[in-house]
Amino acid sequence: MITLTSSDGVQFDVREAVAKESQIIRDMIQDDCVITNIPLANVNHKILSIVLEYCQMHVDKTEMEVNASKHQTTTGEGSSSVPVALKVSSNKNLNDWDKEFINVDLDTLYDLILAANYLNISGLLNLTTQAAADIIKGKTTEEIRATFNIKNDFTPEEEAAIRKENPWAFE
Amino acid sequence: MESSGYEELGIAAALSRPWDYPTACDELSAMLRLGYAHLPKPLQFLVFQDTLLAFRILPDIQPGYGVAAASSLLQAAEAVLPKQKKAAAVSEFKRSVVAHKRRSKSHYDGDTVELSQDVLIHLFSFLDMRSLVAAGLVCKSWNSAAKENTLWKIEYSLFFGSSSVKEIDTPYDFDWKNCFQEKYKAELAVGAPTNRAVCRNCHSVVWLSTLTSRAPHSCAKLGQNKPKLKLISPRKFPKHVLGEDLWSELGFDTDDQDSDSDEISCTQYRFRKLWAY
Repeated sequence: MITLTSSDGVQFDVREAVAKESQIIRDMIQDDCVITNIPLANVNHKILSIVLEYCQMHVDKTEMEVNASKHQTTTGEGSSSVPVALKVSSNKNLNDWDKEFINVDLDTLYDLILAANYLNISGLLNLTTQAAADIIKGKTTEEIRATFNIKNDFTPEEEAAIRKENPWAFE
Repeated sequence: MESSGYEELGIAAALSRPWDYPTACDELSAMLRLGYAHLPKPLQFLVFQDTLLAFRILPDIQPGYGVAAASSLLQAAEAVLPKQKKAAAVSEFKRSVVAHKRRSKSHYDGDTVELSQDVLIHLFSFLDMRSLVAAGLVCKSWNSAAKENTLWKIEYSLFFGSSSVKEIDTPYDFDWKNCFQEKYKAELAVGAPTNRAVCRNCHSVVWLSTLTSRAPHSCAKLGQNKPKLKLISPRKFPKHVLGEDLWSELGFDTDDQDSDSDEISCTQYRFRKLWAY
């Protein structure tokens, strides 16, 4: 077990495999094998618990697959096509789970992107940035600013200039 | 034959993508208002089904999208549909608007830690070309990420094929956005806003909003390496819906002016108007 401590001091005990979904934690463990407590200065407990839920689910699924295919080999039944079929169906379930998992409000999504990037969890980073991209898609510039509460920091002259560069895309 | 032309326009699938929902609704509205009475029965049925579908999935569309487009679709439906179908459409709409309001959430209002350029570029790699351009106008930091050369190199290969990327001799500071823009203007622009292209090889209709580096058009005939996309001017859709041979004209002919206007019948003419906004 490894203890992860959130920026607001909450401790989470997780299996090493779960923590290792994060590339930076994986690197830390590899560098120094006696690490048991890792403080995470940039992730609060609310976001960390969501991140760990993701890691837990993905580790469980992978382990289930490995076990299933081991079982397949030891019993020697059937052809190699069976584990493949099993893998496909479990991938589908995992995709459905991901889709449900990422159905969160924008504040949470934003924090999850930051956390996934900081902890370097590539699956979660893809999932969250894809979800954010889906929200941006099809919106006008003003709608994007309003949705994400982003301030327009161009001077009027700058904005006029960049707007002049881009109308071709919409013709 | 005719219905398959309609199905290829992919309106039902577009409705389920929030960013295409308004466009798909507008197209349905236009089709109802201007052409419904002239459509063959099976096509009328499909248009009606998709109208109901539009209302049914409205609650799943994010706030900020949808309600306005769905309302104008409802007006079109009320204006042209026969009694029974009208009633079905209205009740479906009402149920959905209530559900939609219930689900609407507030906008992002947290204190903003800016996303780094790396994360932004990663995020933008999931966008289609037009959304990428729109995102680039949001603020300075997004503008600089949206200019990223690798993103535009990918756009270039999505539209013109990865083999054509290799043909370009690229110096160290090559500007892919500019290169894409020049080629796009020269070869693809059709003079009217359009959201679809056809692949000249496999003849399938491609929604541009779904064309991203993660989901390139996979040509049934030639794989992903050599898509030959051609934007369809909205003026061409009606012919497509009525099952006419769109492909023979497309070829490598870049002249989008209608050269065959003399043979257009009344129905087709209405359809032409239908999309020509």
